[in-house]
Amino acid sequence: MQPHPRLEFPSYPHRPAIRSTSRLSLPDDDLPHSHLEHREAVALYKPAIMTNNDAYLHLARPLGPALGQPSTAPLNVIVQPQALFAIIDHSLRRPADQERVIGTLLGTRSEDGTEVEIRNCYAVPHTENAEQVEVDMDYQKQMLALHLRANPKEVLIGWYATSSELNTFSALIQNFYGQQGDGTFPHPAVHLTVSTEPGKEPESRTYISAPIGVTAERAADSCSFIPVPHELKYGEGEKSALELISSAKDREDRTQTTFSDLEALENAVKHVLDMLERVSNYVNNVLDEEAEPSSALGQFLLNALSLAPKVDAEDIERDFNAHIQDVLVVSYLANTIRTQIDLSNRLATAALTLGTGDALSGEGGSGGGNNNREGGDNRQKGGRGGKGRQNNNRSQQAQQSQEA
Amino acid sequence: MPGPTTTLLIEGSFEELADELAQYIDNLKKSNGDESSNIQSETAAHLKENKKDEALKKLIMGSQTLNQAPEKEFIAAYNLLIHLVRQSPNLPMFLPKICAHLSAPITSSPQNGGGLALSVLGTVFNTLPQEHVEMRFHILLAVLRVIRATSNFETLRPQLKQLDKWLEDWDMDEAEDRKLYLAVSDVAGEAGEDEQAYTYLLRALRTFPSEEVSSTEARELSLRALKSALTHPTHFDFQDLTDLDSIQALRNTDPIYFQLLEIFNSDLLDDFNDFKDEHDGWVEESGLDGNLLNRKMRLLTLASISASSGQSRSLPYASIAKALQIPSEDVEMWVIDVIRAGLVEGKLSQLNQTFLIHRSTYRVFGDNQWREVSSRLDLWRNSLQGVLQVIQQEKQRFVEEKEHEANKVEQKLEQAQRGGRRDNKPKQRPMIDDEMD
Repeated sequence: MQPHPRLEFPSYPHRPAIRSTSRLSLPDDDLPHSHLEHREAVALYKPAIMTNNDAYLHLARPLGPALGQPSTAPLNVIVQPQALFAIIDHSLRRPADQERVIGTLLGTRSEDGTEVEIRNCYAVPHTENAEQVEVDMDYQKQMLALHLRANPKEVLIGWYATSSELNTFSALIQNFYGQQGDGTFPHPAVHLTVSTEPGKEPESRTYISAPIGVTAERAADSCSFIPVPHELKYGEGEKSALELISSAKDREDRTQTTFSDLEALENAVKHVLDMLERVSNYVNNVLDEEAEPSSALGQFLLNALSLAPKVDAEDIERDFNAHIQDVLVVSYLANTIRTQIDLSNRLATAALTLGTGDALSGEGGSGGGNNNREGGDNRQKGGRGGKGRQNNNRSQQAQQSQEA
Repeated sequence: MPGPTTTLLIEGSFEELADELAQYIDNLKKSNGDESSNIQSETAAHLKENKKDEALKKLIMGSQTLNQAPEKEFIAAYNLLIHLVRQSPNLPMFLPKICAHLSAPITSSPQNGGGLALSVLGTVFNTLPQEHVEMRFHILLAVLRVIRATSNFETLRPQLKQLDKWLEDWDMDEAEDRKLYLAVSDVAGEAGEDEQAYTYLLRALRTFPSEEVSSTEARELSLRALKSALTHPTHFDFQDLTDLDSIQALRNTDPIYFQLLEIFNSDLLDDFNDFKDEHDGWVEESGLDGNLLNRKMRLLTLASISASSGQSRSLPYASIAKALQIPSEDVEMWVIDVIRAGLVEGKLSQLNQTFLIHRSTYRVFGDNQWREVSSRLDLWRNSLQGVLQVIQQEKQRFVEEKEHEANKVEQKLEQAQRGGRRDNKPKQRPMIDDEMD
């Protein structure tokens, strides 16, 4: 069996060299802080991820501009984990003096604009202080163009920030992303916030915006954020990878070996057993009249349980044995072929090493070839036999080549 | 977890913004031919005396005109109004008025008016400060009114799952809970979502406290739920109904209805026919569809007899025909209908004239059924434990074999080294050995 590939986790995240020097002034802060955040990045994938913990109502989005069919159908946002990973990673590498960092979200949008999927993102440098905010618009434009060239199917979706707080700068940036021309116009720009406070569960929220204010000047630097529902979606493969990664978070060395098929099967069986345990606990409680019976639940259980096919144990045994035989035959044939190839390889190389002496005379050459073949066979037998045999073979071979 | 405290981000003082809004409303009124409007000067006067609430009152009185604002500016203007109102300590005083205005049709946008109003109501709902959280109830009722008027149930559907949590948060009395559930049920019913309408009707029924179960209101609602359950073509589970106290109370007030429910809950077609003989003409009088009831009763009867078929798990066509009182050539059609209704799963064997049952629904889920669930669970668990044991054994064996192999290789290496010292043998010997094997 192959040695398991290992997933390595740096115990604290790598930072680009320039940034880490800029943080050198804060040596006390640096390590433990980033430690915490890193844990958090992994903890993010607990199923408890925070997608819908606010009670809000989303019934209609603001009316889009009158291009095509204006609609107020509600919006749903899907976030893919790799985008979230990148956002949290960006938050880890932020300059020390910056509370939050922002970036651009890319992804796909359904034809009617009601489903938005965030697939990708990149960081956009910006600075903000009490008075003003500066976003590197040229950088954003160039990066966007490059990204769209590499992934022509993705479109600009909106932007993210690594803090749950919304302020007037958020409104400004939101309007920048939603504007006509370079922005998401005529679709609403999506704003994703991911809180990255160390020591707390990260929370994500998504918003779109509506204008506010009755004069043009007011509307330009203000907006009303409308919370929209979003969900995290990942496939089977991503899920098992993330589970594996998150199992490394509690270990000192931050490594985790990948599971072999057998271990994965064992875990799956244990998992199912756990679930069965829970269900039968409930059923037993119902039977003991300790729990409130729910006929809907019982009916559901019975339906699920009767999905199991009714097959005799003998039939299974017969089918299984037949299958095993097939597998054995295949593996036997495969082995035979491998041996044949091996053998012919050996013969070919033996002819080369031993047959050089008689290249001049054709007759001797063929004789030599024969001898060599014999020699090869002998060697093989010798390999299986004891040391003495091998010695004999060796001397035989030497004789043969001398003769030739 | 609370979201950000405010999502309405606009710079400017209350006075400035109020003034702008007042001016906007004035302009709007003027363009609609109402020259006399001077909200701006009135609000300005109030603001000078620092009477913010008075000014707000003026603005809200004028905000009716906003319904005539162009589509594009509608939301922006309303958002500003909400922003202003939020700053007032007397927020609950103003909101009902705003909700009433929003529930009125939006004249400037006949096509998207509903969406616009919903969007603004949503903002009002979402931005309500924590201390006025119970106001959300009234806003939600306004939302339901708008949805009903614009037949827009689809947009509401994904939000309904939060309803229970909200009601819990708002902590209101049962009557108000019931009002909301009934409103949802009405909206769903009008949208043709009978199943949803029925679910929320049941929830409304559950809100009756035990001492009120025989009140007139409870009785009317119970009868409504009962009728809709009986006539709903795809609803076959009556146990949730019979569990309700208010339905049990019908036993005294409307014994015939209750008897019918009992029959549909657990009895067979024969009993239903007896019932019809006993109360001749009652079904027609009560406005129930006799044909529909007959059909439903047949489906339920078939489900019952397949559930009681026991170990053989098969039903001859003849006994189906007898129980359903149908000619034997119709049996297959009925069985297919029952399968389509999801009550039974199985195979029809035309050759043997039998119906082989894979799964059947128990109309009454009693102790025996729970026992069956339990025994099947145990069976499953035992077999899985067997699998787990095999896996663990194999794993153990694999580890042992690996160790064994490692030992062997080590031994051979040692041997080879010893041998090498003795007579200068090439050391690859064991390697060749391995390859050959």
